[in-house]
Amino acid sequence: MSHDPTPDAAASRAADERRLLGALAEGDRSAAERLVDLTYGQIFAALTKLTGGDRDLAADLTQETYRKAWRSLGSFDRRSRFGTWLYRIAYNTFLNHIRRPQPLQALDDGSASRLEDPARGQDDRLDRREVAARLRRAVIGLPDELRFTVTARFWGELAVEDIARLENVTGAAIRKRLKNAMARMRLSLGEDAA
Amino acid sequence: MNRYSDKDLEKLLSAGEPAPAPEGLAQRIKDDIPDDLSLAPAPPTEGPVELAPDPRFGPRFGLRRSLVLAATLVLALGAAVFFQRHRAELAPALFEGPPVGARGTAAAPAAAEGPAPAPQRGDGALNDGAQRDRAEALAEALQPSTPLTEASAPDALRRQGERADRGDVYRSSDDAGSVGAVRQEKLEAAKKELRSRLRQIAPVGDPSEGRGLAPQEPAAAGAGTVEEPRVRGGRDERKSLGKPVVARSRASFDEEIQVTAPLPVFESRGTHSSLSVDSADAEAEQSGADGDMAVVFRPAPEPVAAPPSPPSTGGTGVPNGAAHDAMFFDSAGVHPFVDAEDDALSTFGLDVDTASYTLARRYLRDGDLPPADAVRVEEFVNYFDYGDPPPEPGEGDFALTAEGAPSLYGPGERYHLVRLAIRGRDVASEDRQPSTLTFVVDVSGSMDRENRLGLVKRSLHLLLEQLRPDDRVALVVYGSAGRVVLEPTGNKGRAAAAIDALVPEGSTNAEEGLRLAYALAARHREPGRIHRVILCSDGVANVGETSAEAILQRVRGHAREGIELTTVGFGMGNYNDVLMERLANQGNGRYAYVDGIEEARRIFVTSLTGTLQTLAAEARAQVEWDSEVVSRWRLLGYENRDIADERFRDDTVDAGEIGVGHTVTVLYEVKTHRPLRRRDRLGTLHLRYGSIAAGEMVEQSLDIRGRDLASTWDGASRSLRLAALVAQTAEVLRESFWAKGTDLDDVFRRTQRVATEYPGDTDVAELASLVGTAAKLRGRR
Repeated sequence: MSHDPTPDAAASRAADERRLLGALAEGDRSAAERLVDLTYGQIFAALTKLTGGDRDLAADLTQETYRKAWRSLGSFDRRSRFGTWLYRIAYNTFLNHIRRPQPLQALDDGSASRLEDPARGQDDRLDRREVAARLRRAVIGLPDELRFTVTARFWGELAVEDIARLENVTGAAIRKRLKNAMARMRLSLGEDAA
Repeated sequence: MNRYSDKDLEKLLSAGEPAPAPEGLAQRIKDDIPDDLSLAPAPPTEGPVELAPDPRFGPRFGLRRSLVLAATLVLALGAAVFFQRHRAELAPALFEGPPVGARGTAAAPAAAEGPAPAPQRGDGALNDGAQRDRAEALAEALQPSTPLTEASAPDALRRQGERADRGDVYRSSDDAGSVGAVRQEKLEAAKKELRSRLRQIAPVGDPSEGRGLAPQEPAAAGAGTVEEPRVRGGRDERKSLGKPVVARSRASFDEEIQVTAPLPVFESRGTHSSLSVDSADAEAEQSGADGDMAVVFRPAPEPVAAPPSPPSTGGTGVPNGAAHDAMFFDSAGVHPFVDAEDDALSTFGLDVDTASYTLARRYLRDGDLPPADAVRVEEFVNYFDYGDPPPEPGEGDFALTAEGAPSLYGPGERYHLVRLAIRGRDVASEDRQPSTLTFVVDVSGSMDRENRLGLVKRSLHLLLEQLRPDDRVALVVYGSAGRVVLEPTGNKGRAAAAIDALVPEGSTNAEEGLRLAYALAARHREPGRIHRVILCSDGVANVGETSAEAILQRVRGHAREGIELTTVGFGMGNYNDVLMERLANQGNGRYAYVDGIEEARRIFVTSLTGTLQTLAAEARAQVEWDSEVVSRWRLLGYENRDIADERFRDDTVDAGEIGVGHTVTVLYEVKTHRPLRRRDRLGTLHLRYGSIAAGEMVEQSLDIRGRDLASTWDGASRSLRLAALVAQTAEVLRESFWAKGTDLDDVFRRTQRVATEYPGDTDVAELASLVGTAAKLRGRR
């Protein structure tokens, strides 16, 4: 998949993370800054997708995510990847935000026309933004476990094995969740178009 | 129908270039890095990290499991082959799309080749109810006129977000190990809730209780356009999700369903035949798969578990079709850990009942483990005297104390057990108000078993001896019909004769008995006296023609007028714990279980003043944790006493009554962000109650500080260690998730040691022997 980093890059990144966490455990505050450099782009990108493209909101939530992360760093047991753990916090931060009552501006334009059927060969006529908006709704409408898995995989760009480690299940279980999520999304998108 | 393959969706999901982060964001984040970052050292195992097993699938596969798996695979393959061969006949009925066949096994990768099964409603991967829920939510979401904003997110989605969030909070800030815990917890909670809903024929609490929210309540204010009847305000919903059962079941059930039904009888041992989760499919919509068990309940058109009034048992009947010796319990689930940042408030009604402990004691003495549903942690803990000092004269009604220590049974590091003691003022026996006690004695046939009635009579004689000349006693009995045996009298001789004359008779008409007792008590009401109806029964109730709700309502109404109800349970086999506790709750009284004459002595002699003289009415506590210090917390017990946080000062909410000299003990397990310092304030305990002495609502509070906690378990006071062991015993017996892996033998040895520090306290010595018995019985299972 296009967003997958090459295995080498991923491995070296994981090694960087481990080194920085080691330094952090020894009280090296600058290691925290380096960890930010290493991870914030991905967290921001994921939150941008989660928020439906609201970059200002995503930036705020990213900042909030790190604040929470520093506070609960003591509970990070380093069994999962730092970035994965961070994504879980970002995801929760987003859900917390959604739940917040104060009216906020619309995240995306709900007046888009109905999603059309790619089987008709009209892909080129589809407005990408509309598709993205509908897709996002379908994702947000998933049961939590599936929603978390799908967003972590595709928007957080996390590897299946990393998500599995964080969720404390096997990679197969994560792949099953993804499959299940796809089936549900297909259903909701299909009903949408019907 | 074949619109999107998995690959299409994956492409769509991955589409779009990652947006570059705004300038300065990294710096903003870095500016927030605090100076005192602490990170645990790397886990001991280097290299590939071992995965803990997914709790849904049980322990890691061993040889036996592998064999079972292999056999299952062979069978599945066979089925697949069979299906392929008979596809022509089967396919039209099952699928419209191509068959999935063996490819669709659980482990099939997301990017499986080929077209995916068509999204039929019959798709085995999907839950039908969940689909409907999802479909509704999406239909709502995809209305062109309703953009999905935070403010207008459809309720269904919002609810789901809340649920999800609720569950996730625990995951975010904790070790991966607790993820399974949360899921298991959710699953168990949902199952329990489902069961309890189905059984909860008699709604409890005031109908207004737990209802919606004040208009200014945040989530309610921001809720979507259409208010669904079953949607509670966000806060209530969250509350109930965090604390699995109570708030939701009370709030929504009461509001939605008007059921006329007999008193609830709950089966706990044996099978859950008519009450299983499966049987509720029609009413319960499960939203989610893979263990996401957020369950939404809808009223059944016909009450499922509400047969017409069961035949009178009279000791030989078959209530609700359950086995003759069924015992009836209900469980409100187990409180989970709550992230302090998400919810720093813990609010609940106080409770001084002890029946659950004496019931469990009875089981253990009989050589049985008590059913998990019969165990209420707070009633175990409150059975014991921790020697907390009463308030100094002039100090108020209660003395509040806090202590703690590193938790012996906590799920990890930096977990502390905190014990809060709320000790009521003592009142000398001669200073209590004169009382008029109206006994309602069940003399139905079932009371003949194991000489229950005999025990009641001996208990009443004990009590009689304790009464002062200005007290009065009245006696009402009920078998097939109720009748007044003794009008209120101060003449102990006459009362004793009336008690002696009681004999078992006929069937059970508790309703009439209670009605007569209340009428009698009301007729003889005088200011300045305690008026108490005391029900002595095994709780097996045929309530005549009246519904449980009608009885409970009557009890509630009389409690408001100042006639309180205390329930005293007797007997084993067909015993109805649920009814007895609920009646006492509604009647603003106490619930005790008498498993022998010594327990009768304890209730009616040793602590009679406390049993009769109420010190505080509608007492509730709220602990406000400081999320800067405490990262997560868990209240042990009080599951069926939850109160919505924002209703702490709402005095219409039913809470607990505390007698003079009583102590309420509350245990929390809290995890701190960092090692605790003496000056840290973990939180504040707020107590609010109607002071009988002052005649008004009063509040008291106490800061819980680092210096109140011992730095080691061995350095903790004996009272803390005793309370911890009592609670852990209850946790094990109720099969709490949080006590998994606790070795009861270890609890036993520790309890024995603590008992040596309580010389002369027979209760503690007895506890040790009971824990020993329980450990043996569990070992045998």
